[in-house]
Amino acid sequence: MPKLNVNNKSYVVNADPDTPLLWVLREELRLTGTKFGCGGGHCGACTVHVNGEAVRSCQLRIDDVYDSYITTIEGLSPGVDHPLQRAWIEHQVPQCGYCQSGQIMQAAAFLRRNANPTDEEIESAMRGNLCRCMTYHRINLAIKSVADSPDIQDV
Amino acid sequence: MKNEISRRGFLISSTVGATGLLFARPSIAGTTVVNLLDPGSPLVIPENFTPSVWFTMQSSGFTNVHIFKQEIGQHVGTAFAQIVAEELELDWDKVAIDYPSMDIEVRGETGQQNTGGSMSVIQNFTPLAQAAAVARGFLRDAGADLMGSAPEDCIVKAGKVIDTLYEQEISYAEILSQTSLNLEIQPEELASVQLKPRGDYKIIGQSLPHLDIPEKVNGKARYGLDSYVPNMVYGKVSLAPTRLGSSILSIRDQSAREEIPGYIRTLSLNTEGMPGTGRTDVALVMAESFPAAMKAEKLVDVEWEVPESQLVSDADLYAEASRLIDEEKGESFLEVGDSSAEFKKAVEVVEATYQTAMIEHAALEPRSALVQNIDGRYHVYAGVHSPSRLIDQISAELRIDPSQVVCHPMLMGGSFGDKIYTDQVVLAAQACQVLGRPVKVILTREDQFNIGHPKPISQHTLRAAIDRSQMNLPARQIAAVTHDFASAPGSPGPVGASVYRSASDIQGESRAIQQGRGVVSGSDHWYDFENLSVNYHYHEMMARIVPVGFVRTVGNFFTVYAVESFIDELAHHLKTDPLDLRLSLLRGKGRNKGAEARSKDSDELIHGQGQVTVGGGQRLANVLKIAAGQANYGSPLLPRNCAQGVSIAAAEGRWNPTFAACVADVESTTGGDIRVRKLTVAADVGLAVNPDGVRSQIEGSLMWGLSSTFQEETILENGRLKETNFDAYKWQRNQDLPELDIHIVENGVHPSGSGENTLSLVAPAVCNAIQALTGKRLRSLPLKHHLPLV
Repeated sequence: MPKLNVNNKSYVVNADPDTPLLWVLREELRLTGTKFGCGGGHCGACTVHVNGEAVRSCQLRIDDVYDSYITTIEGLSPGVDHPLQRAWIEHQVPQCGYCQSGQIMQAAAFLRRNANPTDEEIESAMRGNLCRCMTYHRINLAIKSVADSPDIQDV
Repeated sequence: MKNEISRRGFLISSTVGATGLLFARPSIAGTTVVNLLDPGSPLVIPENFTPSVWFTMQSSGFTNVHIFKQEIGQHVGTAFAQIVAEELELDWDKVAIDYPSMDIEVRGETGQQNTGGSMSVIQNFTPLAQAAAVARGFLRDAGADLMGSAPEDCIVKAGKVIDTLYEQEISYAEILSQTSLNLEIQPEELASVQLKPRGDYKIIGQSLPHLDIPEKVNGKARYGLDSYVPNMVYGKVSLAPTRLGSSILSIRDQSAREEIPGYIRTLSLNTEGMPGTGRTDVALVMAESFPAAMKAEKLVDVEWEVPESQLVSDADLYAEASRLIDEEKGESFLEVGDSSAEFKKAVEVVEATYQTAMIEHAALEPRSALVQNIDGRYHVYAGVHSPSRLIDQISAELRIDPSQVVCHPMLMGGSFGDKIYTDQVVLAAQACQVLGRPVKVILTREDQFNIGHPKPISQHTLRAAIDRSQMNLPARQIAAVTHDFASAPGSPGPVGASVYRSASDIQGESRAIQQGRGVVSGSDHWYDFENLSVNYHYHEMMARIVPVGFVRTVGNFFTVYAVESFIDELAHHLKTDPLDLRLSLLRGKGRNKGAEARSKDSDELIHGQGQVTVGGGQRLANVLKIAAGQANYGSPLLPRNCAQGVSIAAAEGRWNPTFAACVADVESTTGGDIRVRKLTVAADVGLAVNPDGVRSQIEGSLMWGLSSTFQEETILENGRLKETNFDAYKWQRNQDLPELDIHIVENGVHPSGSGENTLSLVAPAVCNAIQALTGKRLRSLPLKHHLPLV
């Protein structure tokens, strides 16, 4: 039986190999922090990390990621201890909160590669993650506030 | 909208348990409440303390505030908790919120609890404060009794009753562990309870961190889509070729049965978003998992009968709107003075026509619903605006007694009015009834667009009779204004209308028009026109083709766009500054005076929901001055490719006005594109319970306004909405963000709503700035069709 490695746990999954990763995470593993927004890779609500890269889980078949390491919002930090999660609270970013798992996962992968980004780099990294409450100003403030923080590389 | 809080909710039962503070029949105590903010720990309210319907005090010293309004991202629970904590003198660290389930017994205590119109705080501020203040009085008396003190020597502070004379104290926790209270408050006592003076507030007015936010950053928060029960099956809708009017002729599912493991069957159902908005047939494809249901739906062949009459497109809607305005009388929503007499004698008339497109809610969480039958009661798990009203809809649809419906509210992943409509809950309930298993219906994004309830198109013609023989003051030269507009309402039914014999009249004559809910809002603005006539033309064709809906800030979006654009057009025509013209029309005359602040013989301010309008048009003038000053309006320092435009709005409506003004700084690029550099906004919310919460709502509203102004449009094509996902339906992304300079003003006695009002400021302020910059007047939205300007 093929296995999925999610948040450092190994799962035997009972789903067709062409099932989108999103639905396996949500329906089989009940990791519901990863959200369904559009199903077409347009909104970013389903963003997770595959081998450290931010990807849209609605666009990946599970048989493409059997050998990969997947991290969801639930696995980003044990509590709410990731510097971005703390910054999200500090800046009171979420309104409805639905897109914010995806926003945080996108930003976390981005900052790992670019710890001290410019405003333009933040915009270009985040423009694919839609927020209908339009919390964009606070998202960008929160990202800027943790830029260059020493612990951003470790988590 | 009236606040319908049941009096019974406040009666203190005489059947007291062993210990505890008793406000109401124990409808919640001892039951398990789904704790949406921490699903790992279902919340059990201890039996030993019978709760108020609004809050429960525990002997541990913690207080649970029960939130019957729904959480959509506005953090309503934190605001309510602040109101309760303030009057009850709670230690803020010992306050938690929960979202109780709703059935007809709970509804008997709470009354109808609809969330919408930015009404939650305005409606609940006084009832919550009163209930908490009464509780504070009980606790003081009980605490004094336990200490052997005289109640009048005792004060209540941070969860303790303190005897100031003998310098002793007792905590709420100690009181509630030691005594039982057997009291009954009559409603009139509740109304006369002394509330804290505003100057003594310690919790209201603080930007406390919102209680629902931590769980929204770690994936724990539970939305409607995140509900599961054992043995549930899934439904995927298969929708008609037209939004309304088509019928299912046959369903063939042979290949789904052969090829899709887990496929169950396809049901032929019929549903609607809200009673009276228009029913539609839906084929519901059932399977053991949602991926299987999605696959099966592609293979199920549904044959539809499509009536020719439904094959209507955008152009037909606009043509009908023109016809209605040009040929039909419409219904008189507002008459001030006698504008027809002025137009008869006028030699100079200014006229302009404006159009706005349909806009989707596009909440990021699509609608879903899970319905489960437990021992004959249908349990609904969904994020909806009105669980208390859903009870009636589901009981009518399933032909069961209302007592057989229980609604478990879930967080909403955005709504903006979308989750007012409950087509998908009806489908899940019907399927659950047929199959005898728990059913979850999930709309995909494509389904969500196809079964949506978008903001209607609108068309407006404004005319002004100009009389140059009047004094030099430009405002006085506007002898009369008429505003005729066509659109369709978010729900059917009458709306109150008024007639004022003259602009000096404070009280008008009330009457009603047959349609116009959510549409006419904002057209009864606060400008002191001597003669004003507002006529609404019900766009029956649109209502028959698309069940249009309430979308954030409802009609204000287009009525304010039309009125505020036209004011600027008048200013240009009369060769006066648009800011000056507005200020001279905002003197709070007659009906625009607002509620009386004091009764005749008293120095005391009158409090309560009805006082939200105190100050009236003068408050609009004040915020306009603040915004203009903060934006350095008219400054010679602006770059040459930049100009400013102003607008005002008092949405959500006359019953809930937040008086707000905006200055938009726009610039043109070399290619003729227009970019908004900065929005300076002053918003008078009367009283801000949580200023940062107000600010975040205004930030979101302004960006929504910007998105609606430039980009958003859904097109009707042959009876169906054309866009089906975010690749085609464009809206504001995290790019090219303007600077937002927001000033919260608190010049009232009662809080007003902040979730919608400032949205409508953006389109007219931007269009007014574009005219100032380029000389071009853009009279239709979205602006993408006009850009680049050449």
